[in-house]
Amino acid sequence: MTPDMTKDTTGDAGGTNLDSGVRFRKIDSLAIAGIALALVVAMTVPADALQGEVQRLMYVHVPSAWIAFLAFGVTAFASGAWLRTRQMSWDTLAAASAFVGVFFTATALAAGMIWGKPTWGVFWTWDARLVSTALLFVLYLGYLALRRATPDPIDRARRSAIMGLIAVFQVVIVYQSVDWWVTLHQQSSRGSIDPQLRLSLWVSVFAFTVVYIGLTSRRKALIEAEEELRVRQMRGTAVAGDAVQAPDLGEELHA
Amino acid sequence: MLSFLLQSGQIENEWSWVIAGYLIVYGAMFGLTAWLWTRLNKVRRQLDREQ
Repeated sequence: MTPDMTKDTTGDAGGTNLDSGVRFRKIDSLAIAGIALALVVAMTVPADALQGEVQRLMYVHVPSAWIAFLAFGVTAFASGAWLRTRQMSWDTLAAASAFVGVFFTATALAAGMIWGKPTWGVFWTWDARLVSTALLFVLYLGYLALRRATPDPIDRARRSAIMGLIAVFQVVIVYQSVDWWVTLHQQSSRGSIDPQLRLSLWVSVFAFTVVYIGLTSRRKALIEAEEELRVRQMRGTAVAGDAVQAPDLGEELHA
Repeated sequence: MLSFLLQSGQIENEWSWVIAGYLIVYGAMFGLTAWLWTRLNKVRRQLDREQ
């Protein structure tokens, strides 16, 4: 059901556009079905006894954060795979996954702030979990900026692979921040969550995972198509350049 | 429906936070998917023209 995200999806290979179009449609259908199911379950499970209805924000906040962690983990894995194999599709996967990871970090922060206001009384506080998540967001924005600032594909892949492997440690810091420091953010509720609420959470996680696969596949295809277009345009420029004849200065130089 | 929406607009209503959160997260998801879809189609059309 899930696509091989390291596979070439540019329009260069014959029929690949069509294949990726069909694949995208399958993922989109699954994502829409997953989101619809997640919405129904999230809105119909009983509200939390302490927090009331606002606790339903957990079903978008927590999956967003988990999928961001997954995305940055995939970036680190693909970065390591590029350093080992030097196959550009790994580099493209790392870039696409980091882009989607930044997006999910932003949605986790936004949903968390909206949840924070009615429960803590503030949208933002200088809490270890919140600050470390904001740092994670900025760190991977830096990763994307580094990619844009490096025009040579090999240099870009090497530099971003090293950064992708280092930056993933911030994910560990974010995850452990509620245990390492005294925080306003609640600690991990592993095992202590009501079975109905847990089921709803897992349905949302499933839906978000499918959305992640769809977004990453599409972003990867876009990066590859843009690269292909850039290469073709450069080739076109080179052909025009070859047609320009340099003046023969041989005789003048010998004179 | 209108009274529900008006009520949801009030900060005191817990559902207003839930609706705001879901609108932002799912709206952003659909927005990003639409942007990627449009951009990918545009680049592929350019590639087809270049062939």
